[in-house]
Amino acid sequence: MKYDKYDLVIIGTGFASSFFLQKYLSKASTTTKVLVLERGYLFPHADRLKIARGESSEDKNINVASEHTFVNTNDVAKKWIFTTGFGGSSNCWWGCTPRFLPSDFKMRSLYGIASDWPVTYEELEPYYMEAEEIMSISGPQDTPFPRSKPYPLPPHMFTGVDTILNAKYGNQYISQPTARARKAVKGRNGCCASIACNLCPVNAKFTIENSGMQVYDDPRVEVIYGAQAFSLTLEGNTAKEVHFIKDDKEQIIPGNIIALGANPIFNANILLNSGDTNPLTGKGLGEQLGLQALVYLENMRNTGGSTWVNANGYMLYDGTHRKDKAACLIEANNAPYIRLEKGKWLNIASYRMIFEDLPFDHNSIMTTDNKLKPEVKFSGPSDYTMKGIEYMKQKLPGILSVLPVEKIEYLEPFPDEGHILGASRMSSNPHEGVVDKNLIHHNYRNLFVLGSGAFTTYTPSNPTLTLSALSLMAADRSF
Amino acid sequence: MLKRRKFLELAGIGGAFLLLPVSIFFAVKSLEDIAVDLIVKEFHYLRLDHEGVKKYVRDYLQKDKPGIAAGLKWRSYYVLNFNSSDSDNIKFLVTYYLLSSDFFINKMDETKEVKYMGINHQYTAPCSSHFSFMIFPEEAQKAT
Repeated sequence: MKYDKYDLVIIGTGFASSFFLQKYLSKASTTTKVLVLERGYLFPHADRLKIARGESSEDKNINVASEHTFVNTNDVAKKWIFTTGFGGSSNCWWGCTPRFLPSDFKMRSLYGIASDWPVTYEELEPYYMEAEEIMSISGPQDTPFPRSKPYPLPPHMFTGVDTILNAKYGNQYISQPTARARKAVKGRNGCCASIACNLCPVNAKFTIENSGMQVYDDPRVEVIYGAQAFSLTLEGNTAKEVHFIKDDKEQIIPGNIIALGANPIFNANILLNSGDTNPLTGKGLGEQLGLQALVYLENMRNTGGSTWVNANGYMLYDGTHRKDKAACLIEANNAPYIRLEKGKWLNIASYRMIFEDLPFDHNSIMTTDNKLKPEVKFSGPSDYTMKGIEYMKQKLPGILSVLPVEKIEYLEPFPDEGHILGASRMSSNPHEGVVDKNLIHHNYRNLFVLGSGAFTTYTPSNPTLTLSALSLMAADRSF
Repeated sequence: MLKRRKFLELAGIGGAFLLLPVSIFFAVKSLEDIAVDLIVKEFHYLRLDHEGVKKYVRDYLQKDKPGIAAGLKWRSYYVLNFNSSDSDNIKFLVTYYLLSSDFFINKMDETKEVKYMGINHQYTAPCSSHFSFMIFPEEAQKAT
């Protein structure tokens, strides 16, 4: 390390850290000193493509696989998928970026469910805009959530099936806002629907590596790779130091401001290892539940889509049903579909139905004897979510009655949606959550806990855009 | 609950073991020939390039390298006259064949001979999804 103490010590290089750092650096002086601790290393996109093509790469095992980083004692089959290393899960996300609806932030006051977020959609809107600019999001003009400006890139193409549903439902059925670029932009290629978005074959998806954000090249920023933070020194209402391990050697570095931008499992582990006194730290881990609905069509083929998820349907999302059953976001999803029937090859639409869930304290993260390796306990989706599935099955035939539907087949729910939410939830006071509306820990006022761990409730919408916007807002309001 | 397809797979394979002497079971045909027959039977109404089907099967088996248990399964499928509606393995084999052919490039024209193009792979041949605007540009519609 260049210095004995830093103005900001930040953990991780994924979305939460990178967007926070982007805004922080834009407001910081030229003499500011920032230290970034990244547990893994840069594994370049080009090298990951080599592996995917079956070629060799020296860097193949440079970063540890996520399943080896924690103890998984779920009651249900669930992996909690993420990527370690530089850029975090920007390397494996699928680039879906719908905003939340204004109502998602008001679940208690509108529907009597869980808690309201301490931040409103209106407060977050300018930061949604900024995050969408940075990611060069492709999206439509008319959306179910209010926007102050158009999306930076045009929307992806509809299939004929999408067009019928859009004509019927208007802004309740839209081309999905996405970080899979509709056309070439900022060094990225245009998406060509290769349907392997976790590692985009043509580098069309936004990642931290291809972002052009340059925060890690800033002369004020020092990055240490292979450095895993595991604890903090907490004194009174202040976080003083970060404890980390590099090359099997424990080290300590003081920081005036400390920001945790690992994923919710490891943010919670760091806090718990530090003796965090907030009783909700590590509690309320969760995510959405998804299942596939295959819609077999008579005399109509579903062709012409230009990306992984062509469209989002909101027909089962918001409404008074959320008082006792989960909202559902529909993804018109181009997961490879095909019918093995003469003449009906592509007469099928594939929809991923994604249901919200709620935080429950028994779904939790705990420390273990190994301070680097937390334990995760999850007992499965709630009754609220399961009722949402039943409600969807009642309503979907009617919603799709504008299409020539032969039959609808529901597959078993997926074990994972690839999101990790909660465990440091946001609240207006320390009795109901861990961080405040600016992602500052209620008990330690120079400590930011970034990322989707702060989500108060688990809307069906994909989390990445919102957690990125929250990071921008937190840094903008705090410095 | 056990799905019909899975039940048929388990019950059928068990039955095949009981009914046939082991020597006959293994003498039936080579794994490669069985896979070719399954594809040809499934798409009996299409004009298939037979040499291409054989090449596909060789590539497919090379890629997956089935073990002894998988080999027994495939022989069972053949003996029991299974097709894609009875077995996920067969469904994958035949679907992957079509995706690896020029069938979708030819816009599903059932009168044209279907030719094998090489194992379908997003990373060696990106931008080739069978449903997409790259193949069906006239059916892609502008969203607003």
